[in-house]
Amino acid sequence: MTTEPAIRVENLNVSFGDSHVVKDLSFSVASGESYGIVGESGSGKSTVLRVLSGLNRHWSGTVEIAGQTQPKIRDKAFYRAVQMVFQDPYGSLHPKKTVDDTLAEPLAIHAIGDAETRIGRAMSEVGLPASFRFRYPHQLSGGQRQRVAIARALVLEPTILLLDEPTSALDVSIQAEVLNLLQALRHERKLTYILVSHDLAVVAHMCQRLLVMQFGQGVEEMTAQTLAARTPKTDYARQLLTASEGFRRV
Amino acid sequence: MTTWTDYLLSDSPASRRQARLGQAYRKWLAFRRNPLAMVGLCIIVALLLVAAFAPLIATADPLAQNLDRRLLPPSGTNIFGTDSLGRDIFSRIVYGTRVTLVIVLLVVVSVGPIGLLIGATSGYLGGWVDRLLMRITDVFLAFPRLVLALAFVAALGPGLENAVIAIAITAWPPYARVARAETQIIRQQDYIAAIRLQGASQWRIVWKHVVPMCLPSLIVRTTLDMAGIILIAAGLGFLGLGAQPPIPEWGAMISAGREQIFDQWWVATFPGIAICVVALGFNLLGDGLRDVMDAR
Repeated sequence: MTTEPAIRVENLNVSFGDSHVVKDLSFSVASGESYGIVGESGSGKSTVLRVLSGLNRHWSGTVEIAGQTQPKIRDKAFYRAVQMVFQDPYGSLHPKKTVDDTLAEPLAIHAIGDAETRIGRAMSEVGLPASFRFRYPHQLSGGQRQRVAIARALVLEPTILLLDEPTSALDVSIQAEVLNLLQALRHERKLTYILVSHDLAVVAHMCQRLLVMQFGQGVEEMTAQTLAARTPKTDYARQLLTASEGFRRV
Repeated sequence: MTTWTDYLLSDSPASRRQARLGQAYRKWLAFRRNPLAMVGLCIIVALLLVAAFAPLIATADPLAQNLDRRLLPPSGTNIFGTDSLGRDIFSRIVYGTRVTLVIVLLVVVSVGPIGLLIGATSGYLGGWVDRLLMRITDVFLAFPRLVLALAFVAALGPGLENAVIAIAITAWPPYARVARAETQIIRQQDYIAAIRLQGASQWRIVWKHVVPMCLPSLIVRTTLDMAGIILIAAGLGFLGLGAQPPIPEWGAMISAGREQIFDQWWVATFPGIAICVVALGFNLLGDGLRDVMDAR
């Protein structure tokens, strides 16, 4: 495919007061691609995601989604095209809303009819039994909550999904389930993903290309093959690789 | 019997209403485990019943004067005695529950929404809106409540309605403060970020997502505050600026008994006990509600 990229970021800079969190970052993601951003905590990777989603408005540079330059304050159409799944499923669901309320709200905001079938479909797509529909978040496990969060993101039928460490708050056995679910959904719906993670194994499993970040800068962009072959070009990326396998041997 | 508890405690409710009722029932079960809170609830329920059935409970007309029978001690015919105009104190206390409830309800209905709206807006929007609204709040908070209420009643003229307005005007600032503090925590949460990402307007976020999270602590605060509201209403009545005679208002009754307090103790004592019991009831109820609703 040689069409225009789904997401293009050029010379992105983000500052909070004196600290310059993201410096001159540029990358682009093709439509239908799954792109990873890795780095240690404080490297600015989550900030990039918050800029893309419109939550962070203190940035400069160019952000294009499907060929359109995005202003700081996004319009409603943007939110139908781009959705986000948060890191902590314990914090990202409103504690006083049932699954049904949570899934119905985006449909109500965008005045989309046919809520009954859409909610039912979103729930079955993420593998939640219909009997969970009127449960509150405190009646769900972490993995089930994350499934609700994914269903909430999908109910507006976006083309781009931003994933902010979607599994790091989950149990190891649940992580694989949620990752496989995300993989399957991407293939089914031809979604474009940006996945932020500190876990190289997750990124290797999910993404075709990835960007290594350090101190707010892009250090190296590489393909999943390079990652699998462990042949990065820069020192920092090599260090990160070694660190990630550090506890494999005893 | 078992079928409806099963229905309420079901793990997978089948409808919105069942989920809500189940949630409420769980709260009730937790509330019932607290004996002091149940005492409070009983007092408040009793207050409501007495107010509703006052004509049946009262033994005499609360306004009927009989100067031949003035200042009689408690006896079989007048169980709480009579006051300086020969009116039956028991009947006046029974009818006084209506006055008390009217004051409490009017104040709560006006104060809760105002405090919530100002606090949540201020906390969520921040910036100059926050600064402006909070400075106004500070101005009201800077004066002692009773003194401010006194000033308002003095300006508006004495009377029950004006007392309610004065109490309401002086009572909202703490609610706004509480709601603002809660909102500032809530707006940082991911679930608010998530709803912003769905394109919700700011009003929708504040009303449908922030306010429901502030409600429990405000309900608790209102219940705990009701004791204070009753006391201020009684205080205004005592100073002659609340309900005007011959309305049987408890504070005004104490005030009227002030002159006889050493010789005819019952005139001031029984309305005092009534205020004390009702204030205690609201306090206990509020404490119990806090345990149930604020549990996070």
